[in-house]
Amino acid sequence: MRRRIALGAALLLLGVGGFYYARMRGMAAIGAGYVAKEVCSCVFVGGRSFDSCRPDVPESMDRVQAELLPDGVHAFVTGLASRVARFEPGFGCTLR
Amino acid sequence: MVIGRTFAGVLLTALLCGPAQGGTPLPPQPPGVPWPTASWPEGRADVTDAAAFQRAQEQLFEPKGRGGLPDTRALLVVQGGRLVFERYAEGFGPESRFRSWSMAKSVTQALVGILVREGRLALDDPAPVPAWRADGDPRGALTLRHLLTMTSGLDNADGGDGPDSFVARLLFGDLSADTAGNAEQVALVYAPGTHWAYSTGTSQIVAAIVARQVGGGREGFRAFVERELATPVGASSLLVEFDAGGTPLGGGYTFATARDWARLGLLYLRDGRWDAARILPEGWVDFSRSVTVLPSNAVYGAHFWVNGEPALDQFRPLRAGLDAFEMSGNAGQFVVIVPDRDLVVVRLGEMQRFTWPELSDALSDLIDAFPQRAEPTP
Repeated sequence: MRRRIALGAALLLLGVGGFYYARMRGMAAIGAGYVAKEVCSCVFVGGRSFDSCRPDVPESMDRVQAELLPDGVHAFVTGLASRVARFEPGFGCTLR
Repeated sequence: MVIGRTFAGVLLTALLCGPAQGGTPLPPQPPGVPWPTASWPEGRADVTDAAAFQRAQEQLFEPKGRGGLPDTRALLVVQGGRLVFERYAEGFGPESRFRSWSMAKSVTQALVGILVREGRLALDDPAPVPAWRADGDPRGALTLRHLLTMTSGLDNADGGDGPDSFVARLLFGDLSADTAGNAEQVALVYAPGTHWAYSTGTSQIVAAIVARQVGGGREGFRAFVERELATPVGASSLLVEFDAGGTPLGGGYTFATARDWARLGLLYLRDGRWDAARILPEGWVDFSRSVTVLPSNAVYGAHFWVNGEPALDQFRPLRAGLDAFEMSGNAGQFVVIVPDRDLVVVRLGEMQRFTWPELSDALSDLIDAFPQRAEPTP
């Protein structure tokens, strides 16, 4: 009986954990896409500096890290999500 | 069965509701004022209440976000065809390109208008979407009019600001590689023309229709935009971005300088005419500002917003009662077209400190400081 309860609790924990993990992954994926696209366009199409563009991204996405590439922006949440937006003259930035 | 219901719905809507047509006559370019194709003619603002104007414009540049910049980055007023006010936040200027967010939808609508003028698209034909052409597909009854008025009934409404929303997934998430295809592959949940729901996905479908009609992929689309819209009005900074599959991001990502956004506004204020040329077909601007009145819609025209008392849960762009229609986008992007005052007002930037009602009120106050034109004697 006790083993069953322990097993049930473990499964429940796993389920809840899995749910939150999936949710966090989903949010991280959107955040990485948003930051990569917004900052890439801001820098390469808007003609602004990376440091000026970054604070325009809403605070809710502060956990998304971003790095400037020669032709775009890579945004990521370590272990959860990673996206790149690439700039091409005449076509702006495209999320890959 | 579904088809029958669809037709009945369309018929009922046409009979009972019908679009509220027209509005204040659109003022022509005043004699002697050159068109701003090469450069903007400048002039002095003629305001009825100088203090109110000053207060409103200062208010718009007041709240500063976390980067230390004011939320408003650019504010322009065009009166009687002349640029009478222009102010930028520090670090921005006439050469700065600003993103549209949803104002892109209005640019996409202009491109549809051009193709309608050329006889290459028709508002009331079945929308040319190959994915809907199978026999018995109820979406086959959808027209460009349904799509442009956001009354398609497709299950692809934006659905809020959260990361799970359709628009977030479409622009930044798992649906972003093929925005139009993913927005097309949804069920019809209301009969066409009977329910309003704001949908960036629908604008992506429209952008893809334009791109297919024009042909030539991204290069072909870009050349079309330049040749038919940007060059004729002198908006050389206009740039539309694309998704990874090559569909123009006509629902959310178009860039232009503040002066070029004002040029696009002036094109609508002048009824789609520019100098000696007609760019948008006759009646197109009236269609843009005609509200398909439904229980779910009181303030949306055809990829343009109109002012009035919004329907329940509907967004209110500017103060009800202002005789204006506008391009409007996330974070308070605005190109406001005010026929009875012969104005175009452009506001671009962010909304970190402002709330929508605050920004909307400040912008409405600014417009209110300008005089209404004397009505021409009939």
